[in-house]
Amino acid sequence: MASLRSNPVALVSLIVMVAILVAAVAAPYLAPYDPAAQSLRLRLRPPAWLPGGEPGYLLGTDALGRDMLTRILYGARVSILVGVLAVAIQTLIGVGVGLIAGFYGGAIDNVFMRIADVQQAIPFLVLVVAVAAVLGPSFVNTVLILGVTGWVTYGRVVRAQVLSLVQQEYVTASRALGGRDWRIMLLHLLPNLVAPITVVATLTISAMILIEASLSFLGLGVPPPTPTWGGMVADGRNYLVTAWWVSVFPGCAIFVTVLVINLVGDWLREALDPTLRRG
Amino acid sequence: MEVLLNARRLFTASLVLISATFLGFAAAQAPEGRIVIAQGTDAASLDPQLQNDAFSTSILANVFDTLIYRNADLGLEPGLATSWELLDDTTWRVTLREGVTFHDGEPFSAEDVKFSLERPLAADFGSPLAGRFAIIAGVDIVDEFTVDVRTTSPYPLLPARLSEWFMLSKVYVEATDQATLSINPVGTGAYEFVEWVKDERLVLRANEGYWRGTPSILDVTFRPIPELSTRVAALQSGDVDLITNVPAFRQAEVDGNANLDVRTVPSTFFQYVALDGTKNPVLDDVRVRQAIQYATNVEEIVEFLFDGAAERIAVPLAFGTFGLDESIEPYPYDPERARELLAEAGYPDGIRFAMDAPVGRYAQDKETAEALVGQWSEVGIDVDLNINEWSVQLTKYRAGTELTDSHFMGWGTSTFDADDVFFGGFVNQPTKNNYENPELSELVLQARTSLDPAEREALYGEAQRILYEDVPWITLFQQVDIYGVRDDLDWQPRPDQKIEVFTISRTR
Repeated sequence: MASLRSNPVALVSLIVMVAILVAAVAAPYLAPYDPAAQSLRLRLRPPAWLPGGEPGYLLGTDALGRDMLTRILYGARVSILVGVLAVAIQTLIGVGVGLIAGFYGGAIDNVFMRIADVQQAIPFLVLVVAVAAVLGPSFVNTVLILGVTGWVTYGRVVRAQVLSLVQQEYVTASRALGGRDWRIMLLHLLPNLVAPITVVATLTISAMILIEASLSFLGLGVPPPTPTWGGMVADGRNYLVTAWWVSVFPGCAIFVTVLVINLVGDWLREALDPTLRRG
Repeated sequence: MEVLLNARRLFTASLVLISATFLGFAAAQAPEGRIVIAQGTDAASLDPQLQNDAFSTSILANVFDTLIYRNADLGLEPGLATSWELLDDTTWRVTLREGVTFHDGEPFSAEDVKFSLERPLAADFGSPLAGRFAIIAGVDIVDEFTVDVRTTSPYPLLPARLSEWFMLSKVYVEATDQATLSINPVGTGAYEFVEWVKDERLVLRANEGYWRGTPSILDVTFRPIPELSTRVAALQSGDVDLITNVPAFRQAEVDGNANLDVRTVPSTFFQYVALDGTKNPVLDDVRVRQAIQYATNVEEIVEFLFDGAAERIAVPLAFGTFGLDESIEPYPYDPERARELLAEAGYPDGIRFAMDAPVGRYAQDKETAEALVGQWSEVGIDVDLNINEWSVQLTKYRAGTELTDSHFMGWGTSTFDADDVFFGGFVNQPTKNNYENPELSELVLQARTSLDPAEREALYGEAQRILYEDVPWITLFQQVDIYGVRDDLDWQPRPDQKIEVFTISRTR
């Protein structure tokens, strides 16, 4: 972790990322209002520092007079939770498939990898939008769709890693000692997979957050009244000329979150990859 | 309150004074130029008897004619029929215009009228208008240009109905398969159909032999643009010449543009939420339904979402409709009373139900639905809101069974008579909100067949009191339709949302 000190960008990103996490977790305590509390008479008020702004509404209000700051804080919960849960499902499926395919090879490997090929042949976003349109918008559906459709990267990374690991002497030794397959996979192979999985997971969380935002923007993600960043950007489209803040602030939230997660992911990749480790 | 009073005055004044945009169809010179019209949604079908939504009708009114024409003052005048009279209680004699031809050259005659009025009656045809046509017992051809229309019971509204039913060509329809009919209409109207690329554009071209005279504008394109801001931007950039449903908060901006104008008209459309007690037993309790109405703050929505350009209604009837009892006061906004009623009904902790609402069809429809959900949540009424694209909402609505516990919709009357909503919404089409009330049905059916206006008015008065007490629909407001147009268009909007291009001309 020494590299963190020599990498100020990563350090700042990490701090911002932690701050976003804390804000999401503590949203009910930090947010000044209830996210669903509307006040039509205060609709489309600009941010507090602009003329016409209400002092109590720092980032202004949306078309129904709901507090933008509150909704962005609550929106962070949805975005991050969807991102994390989707990645957890992807990891579970991907690691399972990758381990089995890489370890046994042969026909099993062939079947799994062809399934992966087929799935990768369909553009990810198109697949996700199609499935979301069929299943209907809901939080659980969004998580499941992203989770189940996104395992391929994990599967491939894990399989490649396993293919080289099974040649190692300690695996042969364990086999010679009569170690069962599942024991070798869980005790000897899995620990060696943690670093690459962590890197892939960090980088895909930001992708999942972006896709969740796209789905919500299209009205196929988590349905209203739950505040989502993508949904808020979509809501603000009609008001861009007269009330830019309704779209711009949640847009910034998506941008900053995805950026810092990617920067942290990059740093993690360097820190965990022995070949890139400096002197 | 002043805003409301002003809105009310505006409404009444406008309904009386909607000036006769004298139909500019007598233009002698050849049609020229082009107009692009952007509505919020595309046509559902181009078979006039397989659709019943205003935007489809708006397009079809340019391709087809009706026997009787409802003019901009909402009065009835001759269309494809030159005169009509009552022979006995259930028989109307209609004399047809001679020398009219369809776009394919076939002459229009009594055969076509008989065919057009009897076609939707076939049970297997599945017309969404079948309920309205059901009053037709049959059509007898007297001679080539005279028909007798028989109704199953005395039906004073027949002329009003004949003003909304388009006349099809018997020869063309019988020779053509249904798939083609739904995308390739042939009528007698001012414009001939050219092409339709679904969700992109629908093109029409002037019918130079139109019986009313050649239209002034040659080419017409209808473009569906669901997004408010995109629609306004398309008008501002000059891509389109006329847009529907300018949101109240953009009105000043559009009006301020030197090349653009805002034209408004009090709409015959009103908004409501239908509650279906058969899908969610909670909504079967009249106390619950009343509680929801008490928890609805329509004034707030009208004042802040619509900047006052809408009028609160008390019963499901638009102002200016025959039979409306204006003395009925809307439910006040009373969240306390709503909580009491919920508690009385056995739900002190609140209730939960689902609601379908469209986006892109009505002015600020999604915002209105979300505002309602927000208001109701304050008294413990939680709503799972499904925001549907209009085509989805319409499909669900037509099928009835696919709708959830409640749905947010608008109703535009075409006959300007209480019969339209009361019969169509509560008696004849129970699948849509599954409301059944024998007492109400009795009154509506009796009023439907009475030829005495005073008696009908009294019956509708009673029916309104039942609806007011029983609240099968949460009544909201009747809006003002706001159109954005290029300022060189000589055109005034109609209260029924039809855009008749043959009444439009350019001033430069």
